Amino acid sequence: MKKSITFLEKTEVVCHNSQTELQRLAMMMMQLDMALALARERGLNDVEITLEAALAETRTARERLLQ
Amino acid sequence: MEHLLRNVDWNSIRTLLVVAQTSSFRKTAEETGQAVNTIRRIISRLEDLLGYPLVYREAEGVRLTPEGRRVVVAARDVESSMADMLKVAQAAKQNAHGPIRLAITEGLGTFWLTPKIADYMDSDDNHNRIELQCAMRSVDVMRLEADISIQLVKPERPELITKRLGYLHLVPYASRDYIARFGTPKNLSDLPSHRIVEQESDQLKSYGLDRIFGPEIANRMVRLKTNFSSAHYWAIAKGAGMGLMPNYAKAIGGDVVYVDFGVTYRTEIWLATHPETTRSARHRQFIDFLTDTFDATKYPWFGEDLMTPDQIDAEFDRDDLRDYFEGFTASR
Repeated sequence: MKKSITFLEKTEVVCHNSQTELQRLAMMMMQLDMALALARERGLNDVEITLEAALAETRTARERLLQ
Repeated sequence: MEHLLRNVDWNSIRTLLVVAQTSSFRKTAEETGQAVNTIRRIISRLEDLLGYPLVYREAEGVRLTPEGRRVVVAARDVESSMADMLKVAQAAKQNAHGPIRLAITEGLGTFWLTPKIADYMDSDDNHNRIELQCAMRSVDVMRLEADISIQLVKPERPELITKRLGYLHLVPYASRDYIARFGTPKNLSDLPSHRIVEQESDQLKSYGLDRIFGPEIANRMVRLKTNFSSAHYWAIAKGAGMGLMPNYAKAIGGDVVYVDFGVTYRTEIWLATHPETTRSARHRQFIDFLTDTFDATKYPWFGEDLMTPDQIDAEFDRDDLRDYFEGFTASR
């Protein structure tokens, strides 16, 4: 029993509420960047343009937050 | 310090996903057909980009770090979202012959557009089912009540894709029998001794006779009111009274004559569609067809300047228009 409690205490649960705004934005940017990579690989030009715009917007939001 | 991914290539992410699945650089190399050293290099490069380790390298294989797990979960989310999106796109492609739902005011839909649609269906490329919703009320294309709307009021919602197709000129008409019985009004002041047939709906305002003659006289003049264009046309053709109709109404074939006492009315014809609708090739093609159907260079009565019914009559001698309304009214 004691062992299992120790294990749970060591487990880091990452969810929306446990993250800061900056961490959420970083995750969003990472996923957008991955999606962009996948869109490029599949030659989905329209999707690529949309994702690039979304990524630029997220970058701006992050820079604003860092300031 | 944590870095941000920038310009990562999907092959690196795919490699990480296989590493997470196999817990082994060697097995990943076998599965992806890359050299083990390449796998190691890809993972190290991702770690450099991100600024934290993604895997623990152990004697018996590799194990994801907590950060590595987060990256893998994020990548799986992206992969599955993109797969869903591609499925939707594929379905849309397969659905190229699906229905097109067009809402249009009843008069334009019945009298002008339907013969055009019959021609459209004859083309080998057009196998879509057209769902024509003729009504006088405006539909909400943002709520997808229809895919495309042709209407007489300018669409107001800024999210809509809109286009002015042309103009609709309304002029007074009466039947020959009516004129024989009641005479031809020479100007507005003659109107109170006439019977008026009025069409009023969401998209067509009343004639506003109460503002000109006062409510009591206007009330006496308007003897028949309808919201439907076909009933309105029929009522005028059968001698119920005088009323405004499109300037090409005589060409339709009913026994109606243009009564020129200096009153005409012009309204705009608008096309509205949902932005998503324009992504579909079949809808884009149909919008082109609709635009052509109201093209004032071909059908000048939809132009900005008024054409009289007599001028329009001459146009209907053209080869492409001679039989346009044939079959709608019984031949005598």
